[in-house]
Amino acid sequence: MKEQSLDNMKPTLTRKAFVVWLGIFAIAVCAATAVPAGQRTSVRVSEILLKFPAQSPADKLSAGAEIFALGEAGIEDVCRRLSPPGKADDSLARYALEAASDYAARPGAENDRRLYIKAVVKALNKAADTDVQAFLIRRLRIAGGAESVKPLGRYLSDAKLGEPAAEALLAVGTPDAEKELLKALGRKDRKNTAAIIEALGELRSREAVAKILSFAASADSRIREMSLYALANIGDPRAEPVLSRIPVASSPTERARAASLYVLFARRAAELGRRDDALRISRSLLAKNLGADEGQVRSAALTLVAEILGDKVLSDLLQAMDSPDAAFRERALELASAIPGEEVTAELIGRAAEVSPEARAQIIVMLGRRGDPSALTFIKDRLRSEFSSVRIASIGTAARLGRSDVVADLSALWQSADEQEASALKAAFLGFPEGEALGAAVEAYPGASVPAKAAIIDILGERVARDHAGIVLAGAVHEDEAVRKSSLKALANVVRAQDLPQLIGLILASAGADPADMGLLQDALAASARQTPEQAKRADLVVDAMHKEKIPNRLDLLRSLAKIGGSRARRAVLAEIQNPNPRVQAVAVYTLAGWPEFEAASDLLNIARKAGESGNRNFVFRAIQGYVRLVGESGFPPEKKLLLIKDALDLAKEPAEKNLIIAGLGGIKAEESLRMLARFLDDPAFQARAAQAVVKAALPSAENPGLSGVDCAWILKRAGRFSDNEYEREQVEKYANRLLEAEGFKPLFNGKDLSGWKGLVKDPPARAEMSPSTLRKEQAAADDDIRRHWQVIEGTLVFDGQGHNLCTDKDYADFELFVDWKIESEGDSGIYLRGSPQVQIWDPAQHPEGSGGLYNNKVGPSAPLRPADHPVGEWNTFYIRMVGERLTCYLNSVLVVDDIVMENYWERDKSIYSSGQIELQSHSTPLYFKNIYIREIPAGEANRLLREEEEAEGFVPLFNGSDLTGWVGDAKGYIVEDGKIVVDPESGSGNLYTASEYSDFVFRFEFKLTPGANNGLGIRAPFDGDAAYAGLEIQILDDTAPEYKDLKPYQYHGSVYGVVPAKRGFLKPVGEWNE
Amino acid sequence: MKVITRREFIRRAVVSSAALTIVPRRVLGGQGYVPPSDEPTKAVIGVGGMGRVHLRYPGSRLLAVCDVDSEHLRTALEIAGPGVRGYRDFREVLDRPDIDIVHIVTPPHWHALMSIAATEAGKDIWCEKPMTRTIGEGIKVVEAVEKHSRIFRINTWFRFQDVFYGLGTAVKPVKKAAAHGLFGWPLKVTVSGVTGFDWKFYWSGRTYLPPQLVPPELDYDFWLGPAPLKPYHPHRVHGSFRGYWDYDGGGLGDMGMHYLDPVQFILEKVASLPDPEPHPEDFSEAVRKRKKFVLNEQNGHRSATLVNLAKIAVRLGRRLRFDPGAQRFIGDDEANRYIDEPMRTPWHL
Repeated sequence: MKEQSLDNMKPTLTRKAFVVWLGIFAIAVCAATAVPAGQRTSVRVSEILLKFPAQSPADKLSAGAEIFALGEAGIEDVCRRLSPPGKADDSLARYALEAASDYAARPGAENDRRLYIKAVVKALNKAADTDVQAFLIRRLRIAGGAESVKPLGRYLSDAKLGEPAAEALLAVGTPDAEKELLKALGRKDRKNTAAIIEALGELRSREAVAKILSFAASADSRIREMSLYALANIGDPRAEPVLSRIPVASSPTERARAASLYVLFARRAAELGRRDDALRISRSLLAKNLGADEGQVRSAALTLVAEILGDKVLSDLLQAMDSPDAAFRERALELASAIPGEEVTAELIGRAAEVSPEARAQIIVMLGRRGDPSALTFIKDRLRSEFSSVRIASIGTAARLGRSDVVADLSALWQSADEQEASALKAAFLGFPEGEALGAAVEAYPGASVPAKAAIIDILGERVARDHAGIVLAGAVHEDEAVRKSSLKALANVVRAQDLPQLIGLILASAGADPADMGLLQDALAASARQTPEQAKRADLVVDAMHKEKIPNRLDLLRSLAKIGGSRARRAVLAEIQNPNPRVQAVAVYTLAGWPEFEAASDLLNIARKAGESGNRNFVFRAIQGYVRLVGESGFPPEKKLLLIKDALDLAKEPAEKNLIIAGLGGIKAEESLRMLARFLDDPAFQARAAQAVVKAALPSAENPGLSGVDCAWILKRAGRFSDNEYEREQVEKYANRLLEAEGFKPLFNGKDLSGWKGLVKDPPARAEMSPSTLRKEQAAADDDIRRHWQVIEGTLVFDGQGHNLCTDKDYADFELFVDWKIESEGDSGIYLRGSPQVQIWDPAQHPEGSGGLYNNKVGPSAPLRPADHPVGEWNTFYIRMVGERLTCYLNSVLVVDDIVMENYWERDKSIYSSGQIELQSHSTPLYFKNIYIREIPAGEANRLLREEEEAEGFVPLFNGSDLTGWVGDAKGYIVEDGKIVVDPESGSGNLYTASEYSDFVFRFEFKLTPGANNGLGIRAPFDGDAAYAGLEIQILDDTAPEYKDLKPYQYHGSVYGVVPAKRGFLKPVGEWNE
Repeated sequence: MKVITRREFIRRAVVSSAALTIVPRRVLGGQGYVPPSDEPTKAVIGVGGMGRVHLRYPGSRLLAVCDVDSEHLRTALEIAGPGVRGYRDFREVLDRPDIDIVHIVTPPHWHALMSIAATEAGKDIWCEKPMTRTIGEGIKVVEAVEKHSRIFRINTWFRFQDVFYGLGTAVKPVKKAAAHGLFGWPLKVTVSGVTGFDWKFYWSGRTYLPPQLVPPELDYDFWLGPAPLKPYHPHRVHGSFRGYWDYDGGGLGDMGMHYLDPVQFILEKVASLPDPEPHPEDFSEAVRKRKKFVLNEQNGHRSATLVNLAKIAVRLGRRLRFDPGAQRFIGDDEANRYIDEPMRTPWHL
């Protein structure tokens, strides 16, 4: 009995010593040696880069400031990390440079900005790749000042950088920048001529005019077009002969473009003080016969004339009213409306009298916009114009200028108004203050024309004129259709409770009417009923009337009940479902399905059940539809909604019915609804809709934060597959990964490079025998191999089919792992765990049993429970959980390995190693992996998990993993450490007893020995006396130790001490766990 | 194997369509003359996902479609049916005198260029959101539309939406409540996850794109147009371009105007709501009557400027002060250099 040494005491001590030693070493280094400054900057920059992309503007700026704190060297270091597209991922450096630039170019920090530019220019000159250089030049465009002019000038003749350099110089915009551009334009090579000319044009460089003119007839169309633009924008008189040529024979757009440039030129001429030139040019364009479809050129020219002449442009504008081009006239009037003064109004009025009716109407509308009341008299006279367009324009303008003062004038027009006038009058009356205008319209109603009657009723509806409900009710049976339609639309807004009998009458008289019209009448009926003072009685009249009627009137009243609601109405509808007439039944079911109050839910469920029994699928569908809607609209919490939906689940049999349930579940943000939806993901008939519903239920929305948890992530991963939108798939995947991270999962693969991974060196036993130096050498060679054959392409690990396994840097013991994988036809791979093969991956076409099995198991099962692979070329997801020796694997959410012991391939006589690296197995086929997430399971949790399994078999735990609750006896010698009971060899000499006594039982436990350890398990032992003799002791002993070489048979390990000798050869080597 | 080149395809597409000549209503619709068909004619430039929606907008007659991806073009021509011609170069579309309206449904880095070219060619414009990619481009579009008397419609409509996303009510009553001071003053408006900026809005580009071969159906150089020349990668184009500053501005660029236009409207910064509310056909009405459409270049530029301001603030990571009159940042040279961004030669405004 006896002692067992403290298993992990020694390593702990060593580790502590090591840490202390390292600390001393670090201090010594700092104190004694000087690390080269560049190296130190570089280390610091690497640290700062990890802060990108920044999570907030403030973070971005502070990270920029940190780079800046390293001075020029820091910025240069970042610049050196830029790389050509496709060569390496330099995103962090690009983020960092932008952040540094934002920091440096903040207002009022001129010195910082200059320092930054200096570093960027230095990097620009050193950079070898044009894409990198272009990026740096763009930084100069944003932050560069006078100091960047010379450096930029050098790039103007560079084939690829000339254009960005010219753009940057334009942004700098100093006279020196202009000179630099001019100099480059003089050079012989003309690679970037167009870009340079554009920049000079934008700078309005008059010095450049002569040179640019020499390019105006260039054979290169880019240079030619850019020259013309630049010349126009500069506005120098020397360019006019070139710009005034508007080519007649060219394409319409070229002609338009030329005219447009000529106008631009004229505008610049005016800005330079040559107003006469500008006027001459614009008027020549106005006079030119440009063709009927070139009115826009005249408009542009007229605009310019107005800009030059200011208010004096009026006569040109008035003259423009003679043009046949309505758009041109409109432009002239817009320009005129900006000129103030009553005399201008008077001139416009004068002109209106002379021009065509269309132009007159336009002027009248414009006078309304202008808002000068002095025009009102003229306008009022036009209300009776012989031209319809003039009359209509005048109605609007009179209302705008005269407000309520013109109510009487306008009212007089109702009598003879045609449709368009009535509509203009309606707009005018709706703009007036309520009381007076409404009264006038009602007064005019009896004598109004038919279109006017319809318009007045529209007004009554819009104004909710309940006092005039009588007019509208009468209008509903008017002989003219327009009046009838308007009345039907207005009714619901104007009716009162007392109109109910009349409305019922209307419905009864309208049997067979257009369903849309009937719908409006039913709306009105409901609006009236809902105003009944006693709410409980609001449906009484309608229900009573319905009971007296036969089809079709009965149905029309029945349908309206859904809009009235209440229990009396609901009971009436339920009674109609019992009606022997199938048509009545059907309408009643539809009506109830559209019920406004949740009270109908249980009725609908009953209907669905009964209809299901009698095979009326149509009723089942409607009832479920209404039920699901009511549940969705109810304000219940998600759990309650879910329970309600579950009630309908079994009633939905047909695909269409199930789809209703699926849509309903999608509206419920609860894990349970996801789990229910997940079942539909396996069925091709539902998976697309179910996937949509999953995404809707799981992802955050305006009102809800979104679901969380590993299960949710898992279901999302499955659902994402069925989306045909790549962007949505990506979002769903991202969100699922975020959820995993929230649950403690860490990415094993960062989506960008191979950090965290290494190459494979032989196998665990071989590695254990290697000397550290050999291992290092071999490891370097293996790392080299994986860099050649494993690549990261757009967030995916891609293997080219020629190298070796990719292994995690770290070892893992107990864990949960998610990994997405994809193979090609005849592909073969696997996931090694704890350095050992493997969870199998292969082509299901060749191996119908499918992937996921423990391929190398000889004793336990090696095949998966069932095939669950997606077709080759599609992504699959593994979930692998490894706790102790046991492994569980789900493939695409199907359980394929259920808590099976994974055997040790390398050393068949041993159990699987307790920890080791994870490897992605290579064969000679291309492979793809992504979204690799792991969660290490701490010992305590692992024990708990194992215990849960035991408990499922009916076992009860005796040890809780954290203390000795439930145990009595030697409390000093036995201590609890890291989930284990450990005997302290120094002080542990007594016995530890269970507090309870056991007679017949199965006792399971694990133990591990140190060399020569001697222990035992006493069963049926009394609390006092020798456990080995009063009870039974089952020997636990390192019987391989030299001191035990001469044991009696009943003393060997496993024997019932002194009673039954044990079979030998089953004890595992010292240091390994036994069960 | 005989491979049809892009150029050949387009030629075939052009030849195989019926050679119809339609006289634009603008030409016929002179004084006192009622044209036989009062329906304006249109061309859609950019016929990817959204462009295909534009093909079906009612109120006008489709005559031409244009795209730099021959696959998009082929699909669009199939949908459009006979009588519609396909083009690769939008300038050829603008050259057609029989087209009244051009729909610009390209990525945003093209919007200003095409809009201004269309105004010069005398076309009216129906432009997708965001209106322009920079503030400077927006200023020039507004100027060109006014100068050439064009009718411009920006394709955002949330102010008419029955239920303004996330608010649980339409914009009209909110405006009314704001106007009556029910919310107090000044108003603070938050556009965020709570008001419907949900996961759809997290468009993001990728930072490391290894160059790839350009697929034969795509004229990548033309697709880039004014944008900086960067190596091709499929994530830059088509379904995912919004994640790149060169072409757009993420979810902000995509949906920002939809959310900000109603806010402008509520604050009465832009034209008031017409009654009845506009339908797609109403734009044709505006074109026929030469009256400004309610969602036009003015309010479009205003809400696009908010989007573009926000983009600059995000890129610079600091608070910016903007003078809306001068349309310049106050005391911030670096920010001002983002107001205009250079266009690759030969493209320029």
